[in-house]
Amino acid sequence: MSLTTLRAVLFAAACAMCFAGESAHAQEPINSPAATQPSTGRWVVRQQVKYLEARRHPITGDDDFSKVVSWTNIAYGVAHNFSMNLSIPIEHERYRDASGARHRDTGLADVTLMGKLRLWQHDFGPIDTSRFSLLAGVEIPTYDHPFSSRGANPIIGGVFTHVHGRHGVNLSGRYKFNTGRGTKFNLGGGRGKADALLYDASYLYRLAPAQYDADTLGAWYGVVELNGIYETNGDNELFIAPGIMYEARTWTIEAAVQIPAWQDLDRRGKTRFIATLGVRLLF
Amino acid sequence: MRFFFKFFLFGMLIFSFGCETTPKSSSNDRTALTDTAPIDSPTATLVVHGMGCPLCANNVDKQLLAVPGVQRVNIDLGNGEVKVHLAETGRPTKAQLARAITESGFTLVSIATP
Repeated sequence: MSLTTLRAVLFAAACAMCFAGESAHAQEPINSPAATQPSTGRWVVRQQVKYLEARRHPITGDDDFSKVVSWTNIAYGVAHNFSMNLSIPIEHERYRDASGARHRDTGLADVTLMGKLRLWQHDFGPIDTSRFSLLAGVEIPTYDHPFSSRGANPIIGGVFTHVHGRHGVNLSGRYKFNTGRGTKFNLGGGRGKADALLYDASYLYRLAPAQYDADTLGAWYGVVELNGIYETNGDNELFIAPGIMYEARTWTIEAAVQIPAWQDLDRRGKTRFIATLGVRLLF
Repeated sequence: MRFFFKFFLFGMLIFSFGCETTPKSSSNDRTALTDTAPIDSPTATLVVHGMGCPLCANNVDKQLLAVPGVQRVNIDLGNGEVKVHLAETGRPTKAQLARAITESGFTLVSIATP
């Protein structure tokens, strides 16, 4: 990790402290956002490990891609309706180039600082709620080649969450203005030269318990997500992602697999699948 | 694009400071918000809406336990009842409990004392 990278990380951390805060949690899907956030002064730390495999790159000819990402998200509740998120991805990438030689790299990809402002809330029952939040942030370059896009990329979007009884629905859209040169392979999408629209829908069903009571300490959820990435160069990829999640009062564990449902890609390798394991802790 | 980026960053700055204001109340129990007399019973029962999951309940729990005079909190997610056990002396006011619920991000429906 270079000195420039280290500076970028420290800068991002300082920004997070200065802005005093954000983030995520309850009834939140595994691969996409929800309009929920930690209460004032509380922290949620989320750690995910993702494993991705992708096919041959259509331009460079490199093949047999795999990537492991350690994705750390720190969220802080600044106010009852505003939180800040800092996401730090450390990546390990392996691939075979056109001549057959194998390569591997490890580094820090661009970190993301994101604010979440809840603009509307309607709590219509003990466990029933509808909420809408505005998302705005920036991807801060680490300049760690080949993982950094080498540009500060603004992100803006919105997310709607509806929880009614055992059912939860989340809908979100985020637009990323990519200002840099893009990452070398843009594995998984959204980190190339072209701007990207990330669109997600998710459904969560509480498997157990059927009814909450005073003794409820946790709950199991089945999750199905649709995660899409459209890039303005014409590439489009949509995943369907079944998953499962156990949520206790101070922690959550989660697992999901993203499988391609539709791929129209000319400028990056097609993703075979992405597997995700994660844990969340509320402080 | 550069102009847009500067505009965006400026907007983010305003956006961030704009959120540092005192939160608006999300309480349906308006009388509780202005009740500044210490609660004169050992317990208080709050009804809270919007706690969609166990992790949500923990936010309420932690906010209430940070209020001076609150000793223990029991939450029934099924009916939204939050029972607050108070200290013998230095008990909080209903307004303090209402503010704690507001800070947790949920809606207070009522506060009752026996």
